[in-house]
Amino acid sequence: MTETPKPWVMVDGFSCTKNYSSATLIKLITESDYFLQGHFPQYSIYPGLLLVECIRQGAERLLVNITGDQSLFQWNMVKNSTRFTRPVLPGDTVLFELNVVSFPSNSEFKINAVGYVNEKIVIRSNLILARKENASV
Amino acid sequence: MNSDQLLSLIPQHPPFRFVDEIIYYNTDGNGYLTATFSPSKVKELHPKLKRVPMIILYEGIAQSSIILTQLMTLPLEDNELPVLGYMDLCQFDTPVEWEDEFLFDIKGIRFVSRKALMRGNISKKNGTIIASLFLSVATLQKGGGE
Repeated sequence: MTETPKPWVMVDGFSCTKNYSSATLIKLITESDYFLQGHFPQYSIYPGLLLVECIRQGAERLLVNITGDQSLFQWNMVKNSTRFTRPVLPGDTVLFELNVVSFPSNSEFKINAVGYVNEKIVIRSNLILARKENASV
Repeated sequence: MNSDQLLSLIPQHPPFRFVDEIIYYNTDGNGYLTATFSPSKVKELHPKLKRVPMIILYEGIAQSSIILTQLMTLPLEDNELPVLGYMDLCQFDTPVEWEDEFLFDIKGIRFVSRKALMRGNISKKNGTIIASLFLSVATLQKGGGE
C-alpha cells in the first residue's frame, strides 16, 4: 500500500478502532535516525515537523480504512495547526492518538492528534485533509 | 552579510538542511527575508522518493525563519538550539514537482527576547503560492529547558 521509501516512513506502529473513528500510532526515536545527523550534529532533538509528518501519514492510513481507497497520496493536508510542547529526544517512544472530529463530506476530514512521551504531551495538532482535486473519487 | 554567512546561522545540517540561498533580507521594521530551495537535491539523496514531501518545504521556511530571528535579536549561543513552538498553515492544492524551485518569504510579526512570531509564504518561482503559515520559534538550552 505504501510507496514511501525509508527513511520517510515515519509510522512504526498503527492500529485503529473497529469503527475507524480513531487510531493510535507509535513512533520510535532512535539515536541512529537518519535525520538526526543534521538535527543537530552536536545535540540531537527529533525535528518537530517530522512529528507532524508522522501524524499526517497516520491520518492517511486512517482515511484509507474509512474510505476504502487502496492508495495513499489521495489527500492533501490543507490546514494544520500545531503546538510543540516538549522536545522529543533519542530513546523516546512517541504515542499518538488520532481522532476524526468531523467529516462534512467523504472528501474532507478534520482530525485532531495528541502525541505523548511517557504520558506527557509533546505535540498537539489539528489538521484537515482534503481529497486532491486530481484524485479519483 | 552574504548568503553563505547567513546560511551559517542555520544550525541544521544536511541531510536536514532545506535552504539553498538567502537572496534578500531587511532588518528594518519587523524584518523580512527571502530564501530559495530546490528539492531536486533531496531527490538525489533519496532516488526512490516519488513525491516531494511537503514537510521539507515547511522545514525550509522554518529554517529560514531562524535566520531572520537571529538577525532581529541575537545570534544563537553555542549552548542554544532553536525549537518550533507553534505552526498554523494553509496549504493549497497545487501540484509540486521535483524540478520546481521555491521561494520562502518570511516577515516578522513580533520578536521578544529569544522568541519570535512570524508569518510566511512558500511559493514557486513563477509566483504561485503553495502554502501560507504562521510560526513561532524559541530557544532551547542544550540539555535544559527553554
